[in-house]
Amino acid sequence: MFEEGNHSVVHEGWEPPVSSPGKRGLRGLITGLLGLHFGLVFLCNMPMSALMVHLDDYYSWYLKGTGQWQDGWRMFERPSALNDYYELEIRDGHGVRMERVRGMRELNVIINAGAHSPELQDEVLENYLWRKRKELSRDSLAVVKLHRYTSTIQLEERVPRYFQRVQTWVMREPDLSE
Amino acid sequence: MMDQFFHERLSSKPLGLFRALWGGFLVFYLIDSWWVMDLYSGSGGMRYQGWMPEGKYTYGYWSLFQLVQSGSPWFVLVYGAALGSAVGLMLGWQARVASVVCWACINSLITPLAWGFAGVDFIVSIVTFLMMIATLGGHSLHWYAVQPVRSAERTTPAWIYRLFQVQLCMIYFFSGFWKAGSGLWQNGTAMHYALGWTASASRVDFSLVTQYPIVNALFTHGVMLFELAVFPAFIWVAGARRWVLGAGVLFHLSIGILLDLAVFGGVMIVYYACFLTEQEAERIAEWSANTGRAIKNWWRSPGNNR
Repeated sequence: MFEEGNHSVVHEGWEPPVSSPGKRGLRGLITGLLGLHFGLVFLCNMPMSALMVHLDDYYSWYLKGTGQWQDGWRMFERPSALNDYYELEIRDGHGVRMERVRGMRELNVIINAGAHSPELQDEVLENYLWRKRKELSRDSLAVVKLHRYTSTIQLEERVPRYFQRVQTWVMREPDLSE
Repeated sequence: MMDQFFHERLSSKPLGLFRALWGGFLVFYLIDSWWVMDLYSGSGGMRYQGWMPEGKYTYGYWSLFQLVQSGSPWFVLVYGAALGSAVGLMLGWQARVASVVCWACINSLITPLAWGFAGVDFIVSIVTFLMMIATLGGHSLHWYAVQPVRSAERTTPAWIYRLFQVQLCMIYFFSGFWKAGSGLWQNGTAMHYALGWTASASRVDFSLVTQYPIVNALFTHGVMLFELAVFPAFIWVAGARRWVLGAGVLFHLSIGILLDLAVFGGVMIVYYACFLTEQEAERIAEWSANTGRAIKNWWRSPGNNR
């Protein structure tokens, strides 16, 4: 079960070093603080409830202040059915060109500005495009536009017919002998 | 058992390697995130236009940008200090000071992010704080540092490692926990959508896989199994640790290729360094040094015309 020299497991036959009561007390204190720390991290990851909302007020300052607040790791919890893509249209002295937005961080800003805060979407995207212009063109009069192309992933259409479950009845002559 | 788990003395080599790798990763992360940090905290950024929700800085949240009204040149200063301190951490140069500066600046840059905030920012913020704790105590500075701490016993108490390790297990567990509550992950179709993002996110088209619901379901439930049980539980089992770490590297490389999430894949793979043994850390450091020497020799070779 145990592997020697491994940082992730506990070895068999380990004996705590002989130490003074003061050092033992310090070890106990550190163990207690670590237990408290892991307990608070566990709590802040739990779903919201009447209890959690109440408890938040007492400990969230510690995790938020140290940059350790984590309200659930919800990466791709509900994958979107949208298969949108975005293109930047750049008009400057060199003419017009199109550039696809590929970076996940940029897509994150663009998509979430609309999804989470529709009232702020225009302002966020205008600020984003203003900064993007400096990156994409040296021409101070350049104009950058963002185009969105929408499509939706259909679950049913993708499933080939031979995988569909089909309910079948086979005709059988009734037994009329009796 | 608990006393041994937290207080056993372990080699500080893996921690030293982790510190160096973490500093290197932070340089990459900061360069990659420049534009989104500038979008919020730079000159004319959204932080200064009254859009930040008022509650963002309450209940303990803070940022150095609270102290100023306009971005320039404050943003450049904070960003530059973050970058410089990340290099300091990587090299082990003035690392104690660097770890504090790094934490203060990175926390200040991440806190104002709203739209565009991603899971990787959470992880960077958390690990930078924990690395500060490890570095302030000098535990990460015995090895792989230009200014190493010269103490006779180059070991560290296990609890320094446990801080990182238990946190990583919680990240995986809760990621699986939230997925388990979602209908798409329960019915095995979540990966159908992720693999179908051919226009939006994917660089490589894996949509052919979406034609096979059995494979989709296998991938979907495989991800949940890895996050809920395989990593958080089996990483502690002898003999399984290397397999779990190997599976994790494959898992994050796959996500990186599929969704172009190089930064997220990078942070998770670098994070695995806290689970290495002394021998493994030595081998990785040796391999890196040999590779560096080979590149240097190639660069300086006469046939290279440089």
